[in-house]
Amino acid sequence: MTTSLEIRSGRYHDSVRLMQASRALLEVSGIQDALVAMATDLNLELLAGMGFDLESACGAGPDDLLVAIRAADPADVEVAHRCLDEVLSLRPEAPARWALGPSARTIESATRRIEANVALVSVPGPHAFVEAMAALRAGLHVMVFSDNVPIEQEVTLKREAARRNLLVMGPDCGTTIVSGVGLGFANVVLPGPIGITGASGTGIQQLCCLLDAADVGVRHALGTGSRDLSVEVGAASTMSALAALDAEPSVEVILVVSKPPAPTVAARVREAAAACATPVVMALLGESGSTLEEAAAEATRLLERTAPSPLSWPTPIGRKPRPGVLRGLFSGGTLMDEAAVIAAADPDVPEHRLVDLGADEYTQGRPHPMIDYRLRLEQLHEAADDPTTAVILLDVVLGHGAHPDPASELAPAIRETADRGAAVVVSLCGTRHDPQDRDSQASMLQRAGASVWLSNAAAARHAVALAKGHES
Amino acid sequence: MPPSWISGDCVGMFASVALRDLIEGPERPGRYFGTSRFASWAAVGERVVVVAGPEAVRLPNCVVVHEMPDTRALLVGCGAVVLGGQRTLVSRWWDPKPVLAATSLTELRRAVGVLARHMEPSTDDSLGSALAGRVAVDVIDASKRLLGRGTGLTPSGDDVLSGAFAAFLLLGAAVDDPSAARLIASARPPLLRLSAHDSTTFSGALIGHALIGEVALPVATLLRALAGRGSIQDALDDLATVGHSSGPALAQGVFAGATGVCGGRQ
Repeated sequence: MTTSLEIRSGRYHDSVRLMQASRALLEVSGIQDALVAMATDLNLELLAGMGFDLESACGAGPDDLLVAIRAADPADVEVAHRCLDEVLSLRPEAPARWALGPSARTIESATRRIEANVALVSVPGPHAFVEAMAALRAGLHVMVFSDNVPIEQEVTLKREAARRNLLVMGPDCGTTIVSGVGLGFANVVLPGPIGITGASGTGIQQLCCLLDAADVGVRHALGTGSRDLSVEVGAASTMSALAALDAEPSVEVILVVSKPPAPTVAARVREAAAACATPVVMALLGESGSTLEEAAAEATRLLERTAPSPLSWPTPIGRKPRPGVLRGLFSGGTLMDEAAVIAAADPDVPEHRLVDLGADEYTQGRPHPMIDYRLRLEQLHEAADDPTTAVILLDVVLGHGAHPDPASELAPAIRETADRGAAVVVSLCGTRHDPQDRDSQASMLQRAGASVWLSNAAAARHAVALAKGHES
Repeated sequence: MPPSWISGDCVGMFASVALRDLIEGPERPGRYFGTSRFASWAAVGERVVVVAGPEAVRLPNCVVVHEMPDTRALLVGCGAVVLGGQRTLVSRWWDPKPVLAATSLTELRRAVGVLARHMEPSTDDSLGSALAGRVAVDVIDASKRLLGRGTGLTPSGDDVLSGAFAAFLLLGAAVDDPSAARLIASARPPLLRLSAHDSTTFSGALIGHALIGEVALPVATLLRALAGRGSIQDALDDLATVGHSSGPALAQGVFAGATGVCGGRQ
């Protein structure tokens, strides 16, 4: 066993590139653990938690790059370093016209060069405010993908945006689709008559997928950030997005989706929705137990189309399910919230334990679980080892930004779990045109022993039935 | 080596939803019949598919790829386009049929007046007059005088027709005049037959798209401006740069279609 901890002073790479680098190192033969990250306090803490001796990192700060590797053999460390250099030197291929001249160094200079009207800010949370404000002052709408932005900064940004008649999507905005162009985690959707505004990334994605299955397209889906319907923020961006969608002639029905909102704010959003000329369907989780599946079906009916039952890929039950604990391992917070509402509504479920592995406490210093399935696999094995576990409910999110082939990672673990007697239910969030090929992902998960559902609510209802010892 | 997905090997393209049935249908070979610096066009069965690079004008029947393929092998279907052996998936769809904001006849007349001030005056307003009269045979007669006239891949006469039919249909809907859609619906079958016979394959295909309101992006921008969203002059300037003569001819067509909606009383 050998460990290597290297500090590369003054080297900065963006967090996505570093996540990819960490992941690439773990695929090198003989590498047992690896972390490539900026030397922030958080990452140093994480490194200590991984069992690395921090002595050689003494004096390193947020502007320095940490490269920590644990391997069976020193030769493997050397190979890993070469791999790292290769990954960090990769440059995305740009079309020729964009490759001309040096890159812009500031948002203002970038705006002068091209006719952009949206800026995507994806920097560590403490730096996001400055960049987002610069973008607003340059006259751009802003999507803030970063999380860990203080809420008072979010309020300031949204006030500034309102003053300039601009929209701030975020902070903590995982998904936005503008005229088919996905920003962040986004599914490939056909253009159509639906407009969505959502304080929930996976809520937007789930609606897009259910609508796609009903052959209903989405014109725009505007994320507003997970806290937008909180008392402090007061739905500032949701109100702006609602007005923008209402004014858009190609949008015939608007959907508003949110994680459980503050009741007073939800009431104000309802008032604004009622004043819209375009019909609005509300999907505010936690309110009256309505599901995203019902909201998508209602929007489809408003277009005078038939909403089909969402697709499923069931697994024949070989033996009677054993009643017990329902465990949920989610990467999408809204999908977990929806499953929790469904499980809590049934008093006969022995126990349900659901966790959102995409929450801040799990993603600090590591890739999001939609990209990296390691944490989920660990938890899946742990849940399968517990003899009280009756059923494990997982979400698998497809689309741009997500893992390129999640079924290949999950299938062996699902097979093993099923062999140990626990059932596995998958909520598969994907559209027909997603790059991962939704139907083949579903088949692979089904063959491994999981029952697979396009509707998260249907998956949760099925998991609840199994936890009670019913066959469905 | 890093895993392949890090290096961005996942190939995607932008596709018009006008090609959705072809892309989602059974796989079929394409036969190229023309090429330019920015795009190639191919027959796939009875249809025409344009394979365009990022610099090309976004036509209603095109797929946009990052790089034009070196080889000329083309397959379309089963959810993808295979270009030179590389399977290319749709990473973004767009709709070539713009949905225009509702407007009034008064506002549209005002917008057409602005358009007229920025254009060369036309010596022949027979197409606009025929559309204004709402009589299908007159529209067909006026179209015959233009169809296939002019040089190039899309003869100027065809460009005028494409612009006019799309503008008449879409602006008619924007002012809530159902007679526009009825007129185009009845004139469409003979116009399709005529364009298949009297024009180039490529140009005939674009007229077919225009007859159902599917247009090139700069035309969509001008139509949106006429319906009150955006600057008419800016849209016209953009359209003027399309092709050698196509842009001005398309603009003349849009003017004819718009005056047809307004009843020709400009």
